[in-house]
Amino acid sequence: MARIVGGLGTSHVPMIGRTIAAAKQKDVPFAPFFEAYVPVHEWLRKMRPDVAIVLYNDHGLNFALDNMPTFAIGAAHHYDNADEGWGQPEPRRFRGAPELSWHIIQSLVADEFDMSVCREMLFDHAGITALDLLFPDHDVPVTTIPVVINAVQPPLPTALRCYKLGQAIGKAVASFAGDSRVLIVGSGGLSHELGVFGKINEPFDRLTMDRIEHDPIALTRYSNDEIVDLAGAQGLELMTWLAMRGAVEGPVNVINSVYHAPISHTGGAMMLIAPAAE
Amino acid sequence: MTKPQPGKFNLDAALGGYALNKMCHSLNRAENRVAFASDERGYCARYGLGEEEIAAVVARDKPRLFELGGNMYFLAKLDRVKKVEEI
Repeated sequence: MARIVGGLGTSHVPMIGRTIAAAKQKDVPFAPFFEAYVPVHEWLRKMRPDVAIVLYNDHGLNFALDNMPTFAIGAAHHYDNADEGWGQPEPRRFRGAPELSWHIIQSLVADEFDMSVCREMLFDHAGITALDLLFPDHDVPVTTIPVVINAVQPPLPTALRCYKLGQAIGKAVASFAGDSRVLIVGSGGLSHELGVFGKINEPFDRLTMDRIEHDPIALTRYSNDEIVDLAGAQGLELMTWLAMRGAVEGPVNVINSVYHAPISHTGGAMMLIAPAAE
Repeated sequence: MTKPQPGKFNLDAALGGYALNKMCHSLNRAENRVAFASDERGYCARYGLGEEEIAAVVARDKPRLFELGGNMYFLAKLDRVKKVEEI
């Protein structure tokens, strides 16, 4: 039986990925953010997940406005990185988990989540940065299933809908006959607005992290416009954390967490949780 | 036109910004960035941008680009284009 061993919420601003690529984690002003990952790496060695389901928002790489799904999931054998406008990156390929993908897709559609299914999919920096934080030497020992939540073109799915999507993913994983050990990753946020400094809302971010741990339902009561007012337009990337928490339901232990603002123009945050029963 | 607020649905922005955002999205590709940098006006015109949009793109007038329906995730691609002399 497949089971979920933990859930990670993390910021993914490009500066994080660039810092890791340059091996400058100790030299930047936000070094405490990277230091907080040391216990995460120890936990990974102990818990040995073999699949990472990565919930994130595409940044205009795989999807553009001609065709913008609300929820999309990969069912490919592999996912490649690509040029997002900064120049052609060093080519990287991430192994998929198509058997588990298709199981989850069937389960989600049966549960009335009508996903867009991607047989090919470019892997956005939002997903890759999360994996780089987990595996900084770029040697990724897990297969990956990307799940994209539209955070680009409003109207966006509600907080409650994203939480329920996570719950449905958790249910799907639990019914997979294979022996997978699954890590759920929500990559986004916290408060920020592209191109605007000063939209960081530390009290709201800290409240959000507390509620992710103790009372995620409370977060689902915010309307999307309320989240924009509190946390900036890209504060809506919080949806990825809510979906992650939906998949890791019930009481949890926090393995480690950190809040460091700013990272670039973002309230930088990480939280690793595990089911309390683990 | 009501002023769009980033992150919130705005019908005018959704209807009006399509060509502008499509042009910005095309800048994911290196050859398109070179073509854009060498002739910004001509490149924009080929994507069907009007004179007002082209002027805002050339000036990198962010507030105006937002008002014309530019989406911040796509406008970010415009920021990444190097000027001709840097290529």
